[in-house]
Amino acid sequence: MTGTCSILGILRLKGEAKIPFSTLLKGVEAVRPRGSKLGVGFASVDLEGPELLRVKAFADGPETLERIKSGLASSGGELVREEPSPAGRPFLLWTGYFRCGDYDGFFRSILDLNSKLSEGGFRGRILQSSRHVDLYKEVGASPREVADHFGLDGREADLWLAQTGLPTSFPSSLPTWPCPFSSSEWVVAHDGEVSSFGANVEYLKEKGWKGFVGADSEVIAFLLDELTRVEGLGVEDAAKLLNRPYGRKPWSKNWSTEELFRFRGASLDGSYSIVAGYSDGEDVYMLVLVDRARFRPMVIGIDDGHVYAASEECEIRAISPNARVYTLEPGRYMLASMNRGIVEYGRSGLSCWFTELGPFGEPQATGQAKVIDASAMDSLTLYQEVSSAIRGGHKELVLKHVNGQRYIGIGAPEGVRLSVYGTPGNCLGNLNSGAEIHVYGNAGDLVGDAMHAGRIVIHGDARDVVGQALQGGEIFVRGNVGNRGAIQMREYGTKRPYLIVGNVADDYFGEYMAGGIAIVLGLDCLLKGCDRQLVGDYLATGMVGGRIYVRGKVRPQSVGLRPLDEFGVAHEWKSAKVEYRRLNDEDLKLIGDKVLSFFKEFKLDPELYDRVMDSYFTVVTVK
Amino acid sequence: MPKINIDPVLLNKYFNIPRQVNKEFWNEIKVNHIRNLSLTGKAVRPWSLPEERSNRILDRIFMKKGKRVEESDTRCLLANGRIELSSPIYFADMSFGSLSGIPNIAIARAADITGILAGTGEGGLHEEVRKSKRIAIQWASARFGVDLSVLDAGMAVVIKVGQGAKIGLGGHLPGVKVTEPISKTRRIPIGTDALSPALHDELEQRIEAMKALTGKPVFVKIGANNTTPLIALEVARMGADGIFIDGYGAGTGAAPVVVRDNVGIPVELVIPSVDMLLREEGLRDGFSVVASGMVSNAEDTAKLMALGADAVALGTALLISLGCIVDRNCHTGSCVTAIASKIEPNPKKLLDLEWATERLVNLVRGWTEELKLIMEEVGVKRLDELVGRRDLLYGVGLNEETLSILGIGGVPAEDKVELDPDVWDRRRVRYLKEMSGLVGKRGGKEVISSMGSPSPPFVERPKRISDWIRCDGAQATRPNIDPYREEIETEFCLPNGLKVLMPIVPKVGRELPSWLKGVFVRVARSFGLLSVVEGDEELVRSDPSMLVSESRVPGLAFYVTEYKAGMEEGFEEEAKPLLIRLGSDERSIGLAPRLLKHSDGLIIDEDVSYGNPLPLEIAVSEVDRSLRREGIRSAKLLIAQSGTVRGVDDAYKLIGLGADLVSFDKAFLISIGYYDSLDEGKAEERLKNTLLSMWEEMRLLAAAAGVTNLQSTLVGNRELFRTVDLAPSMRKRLYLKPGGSP
Repeated sequence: MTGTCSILGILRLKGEAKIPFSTLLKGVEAVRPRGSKLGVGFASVDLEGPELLRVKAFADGPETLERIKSGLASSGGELVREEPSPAGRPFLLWTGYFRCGDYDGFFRSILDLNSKLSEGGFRGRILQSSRHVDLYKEVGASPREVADHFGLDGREADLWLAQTGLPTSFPSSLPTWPCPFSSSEWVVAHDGEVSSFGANVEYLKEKGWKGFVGADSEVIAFLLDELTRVEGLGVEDAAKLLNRPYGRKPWSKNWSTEELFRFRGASLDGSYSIVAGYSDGEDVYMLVLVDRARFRPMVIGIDDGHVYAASEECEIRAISPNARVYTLEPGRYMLASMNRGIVEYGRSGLSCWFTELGPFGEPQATGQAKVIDASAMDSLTLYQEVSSAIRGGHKELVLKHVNGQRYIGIGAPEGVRLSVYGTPGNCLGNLNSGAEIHVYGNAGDLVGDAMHAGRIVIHGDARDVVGQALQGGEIFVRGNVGNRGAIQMREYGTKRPYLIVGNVADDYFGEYMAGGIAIVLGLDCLLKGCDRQLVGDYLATGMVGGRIYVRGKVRPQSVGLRPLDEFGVAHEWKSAKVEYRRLNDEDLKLIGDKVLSFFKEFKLDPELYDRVMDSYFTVVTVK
Repeated sequence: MPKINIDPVLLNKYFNIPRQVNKEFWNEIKVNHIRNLSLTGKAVRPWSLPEERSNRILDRIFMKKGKRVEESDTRCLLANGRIELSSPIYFADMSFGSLSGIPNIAIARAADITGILAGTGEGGLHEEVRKSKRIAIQWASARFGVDLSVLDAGMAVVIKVGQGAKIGLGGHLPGVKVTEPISKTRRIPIGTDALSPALHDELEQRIEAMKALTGKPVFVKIGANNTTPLIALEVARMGADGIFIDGYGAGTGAAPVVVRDNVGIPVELVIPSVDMLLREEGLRDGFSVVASGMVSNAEDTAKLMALGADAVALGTALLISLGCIVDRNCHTGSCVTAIASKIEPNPKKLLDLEWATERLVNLVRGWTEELKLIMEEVGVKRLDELVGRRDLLYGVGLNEETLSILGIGGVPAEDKVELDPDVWDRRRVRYLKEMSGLVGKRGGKEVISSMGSPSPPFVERPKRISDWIRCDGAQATRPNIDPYREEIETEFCLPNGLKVLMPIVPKVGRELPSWLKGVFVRVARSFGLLSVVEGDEELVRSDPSMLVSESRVPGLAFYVTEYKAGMEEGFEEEAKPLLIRLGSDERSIGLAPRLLKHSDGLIIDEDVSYGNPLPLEIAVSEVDRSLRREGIRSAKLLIAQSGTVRGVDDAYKLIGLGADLVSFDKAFLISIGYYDSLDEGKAEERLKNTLLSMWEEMRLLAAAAGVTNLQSTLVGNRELFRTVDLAPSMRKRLYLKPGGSP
């Protein structure tokens, strides 16, 4: 959902102790402003599950529960023991442990029972039936309250998954809707909304699935379960099918036309970031998928013993301050295994993507600077603090222990300098009209949106949509930027905006660009001797003005929306003019000083500057 | 502002309304009523005349007269009382650029004078508009013309997510209207299309940021789509002060016809669910719901409020008040009434600002007076006594389900449909000819038009079941996929290993001259499309690889055999892959699963019947469902075929109902001018154009729904469609939900 939903997954790697629940909660609570109180769900996956199948059901009262239990009695499984409902909830929660020979048959009868329950108007449902997965979810409660109700303090697991916020805004007090959803040994949390939902349901129905709640996450869990358990695909093939392979991306499996025909309806479309947990009985996996336009945020973190996946970096930072963090390439997936580590990173050339900046330590503040400790503040509180400090005449502000707070520096006036230590959240420096903002860490999405003047300097990465509608001033990002950097940049009069990216950019760089100059330098690639293309696909799509400089060569098929498809039909855009050449005098006049100032700002080696300026560039302008 | 060297002619009177050749919602009676109000500033007639009403749902809702009250009060509070309007009217957002400048100023001034609120649209703030107080500043995806001072200039901020005329698509100011002044305010080069792409903001954080930054009420504008009630709930939870819901039929300066006519839900159908859902969740108080899209008089206003809105927004009505003659030329930049004309340094004519302002002031006053008369007759003293009073309404000629969605009483209409046999009406023929380039200058591209949609079943009479089916437009919760910026895959994989560019299969009829058959087959192949060829073995033999035919020439893409009694028990046939052609009827539906055991797929042909004929939409949907129930659908191919599939809109909906491919012929023949006169070279060029247009339209509809892969996401995806007031027995057989339900 648009902004009410937040996901966090943690997987331990072999040799590391099981993860205590308190670790997960620390991360979840870092994004309280993001998650709503509408619903929260936690899930654990453990390799060593119970011998028996754990079946969990909720019911609005004893009558419904009886109906569920009697239904289960004729499901082909033998009830060995049961746990009574804990108190303190507006519904009954029942757990039964079953022994069964024919798991697939047992599972089908549970689907059947769920379907009958909803057709019969019963307010109750079986949430899970698995050995390894366990679910804890509730509506209208905070993460802390849910933890208390389920007695999660002290619990440990190989994999934890959390989602706050309802996936779809359906009113109910029963935990029908909150994520995650489970299907046999899969558990799925999902942020976004898939347009393929109706087609996915039709696909599943044909294969005998029924009793749908109607949530995207549920359908995704069913699809993963169907494709792996029933259809027999490997986890990676299932992931590749969900992220429907498409023409331009080199990593998509080469599915045959016949397979793509047969599996129509089994792929996802629309917006999604997914974190799934799974155990096949021999290993525990965390699978993360993002859609091809990367509409929903997702960050991967790695430290010595854990792999993290989170909607926002601050969740990971709250748990593991020095984790290495990266984003998936649009349309790709990450697969981590407890025993084998990361199987698929979901980003090519990661070693030259990591920029090895920071940690930056404690802020250095001069005498006059006003220091604000953001550690206990939510976004709006910090915003008000900063605004009132500025109104009070402070010109220099140092914000420390920033972790996830949004809107920093919005509307800050000329003459103000903000130094931000930590990991600021989205919308940093929007509508900036003259302030100077330095970030010592990575920034989130939408840095410098509709900025008219001033400077933003990021000593790390910036995520998606940096410099949208940038109309004046400059944004320097030392590391990488995500999708849709420099889109709709424009210039007027004497105001010419600059966006300089120190390392690389993802897809759609310079889309709809109408003015200004955007530069991608690939410094870390250069230093590490990697000659990858520095931008993703769809460079300069719909560009009508301005200039883009990308060091090194950009493949013609990476420029524009669809230069020429396989049927030879050209899709016309006001086509960009692409040159591959050394910088000439005009170029140097336009970008020389700015790039030099970028080098000075980040205290980079002047010799590197010479190497860069001596390189071949792909220069994109408009015909 | 442009420098004016020669004094332009100042327009200060109404032009005659040209004769309307197609059926229009804004008919002569409506236009004259608005002109009367605008000239006099007094009530003319509070209730509409029977002959001015259209087929839309709101025109089939009536108000009950109650115990008369005196001196009703039309004051309206928005955003928890932070904005007071003298009347429940908002002047809809129309940008500087889409309108020619003077209208923008007149609109803002009239809002100030009458004490209502005017939206600025996304085009930058005209200096003169900035002087007005009662304006709302729009924040949209292109951020055209917004900075801190602009955001600070209004009474409120409107975050635009979508609009009724083209939900799922962004704003589009055609390049012809991007003249020097517009180039300056929007900061894009002269002559380039000003595209505001799909909004990729996270709505919650944008609302929060705007509130924190401006301290003003923040509204969110969306188009009415499949999930509008849930989006409204979401928007309220995110802390916005209100939602502007723009329904089907709303005006626009430029929109692809295929989207304008087929995407989105009428506003009257979603307002009751929005109101009820917000009430159930305790979020209705202080949260404003503003309805727009075809609001044409005070009666519409009162009825929409009784359905659950707090106020209405006027767009087209404003333009008519300013002299618009509804000739649908906004997108061309040459508006004879100088309202939507492009902004030039030396315009030959300009709207007289004072005259224009006066008209709008009068419009509001007359409108408000009529609203007051209605309130008095109905028996409500204050507007808050009117909002959500569905008990004051009753429906005439609406079906049971529609009445229930609206939450109003009335005698349900009979559970049946009436179709207009004139499938190829004047507007459709012209539209098809525009695709081929036979008419107009844009052959090979999507057909663009302006102003609100006159499409069936609301204005024109419905001609196929698909006219009651509305496509979804994605927004807010599910980002739309902008076709101008995202890669959309229209390619379809087939079970025999072939791949086609899009799911359209031209049918080459037996009756065509053989040279034209050759053109069809050749052009279709060059596009990577199959074609269905009737007869003409010689032609089939020449290159069979992309053909579907009943002949047994080796190497065909698909062999076809017509159903004959007893075939379901098995039959001798060696040709493979084999499709069996069935009819669009009850018997064929029953036969489908059994026949599929002996074939690779089915053609459901509407022009064939084995008893109890059914509309193709129903037959396709039922066959798809029954094959899925049997678990045999996914491996087989299902082709829908009919001579009266009119274009991409019908085809797209048939795919959503379960067809893999759609085959038709007549639309192509009309498009290329076969029934006029034609030579081979022209036929080829025009057919190519038509296919290119169709391809673009297919991409547009997919994009609007947030679909990047047509085949995997669209086939049988009934969630992407809703019906509007379709006879319930038909709707159930389509397995679609009714539009407007929560």
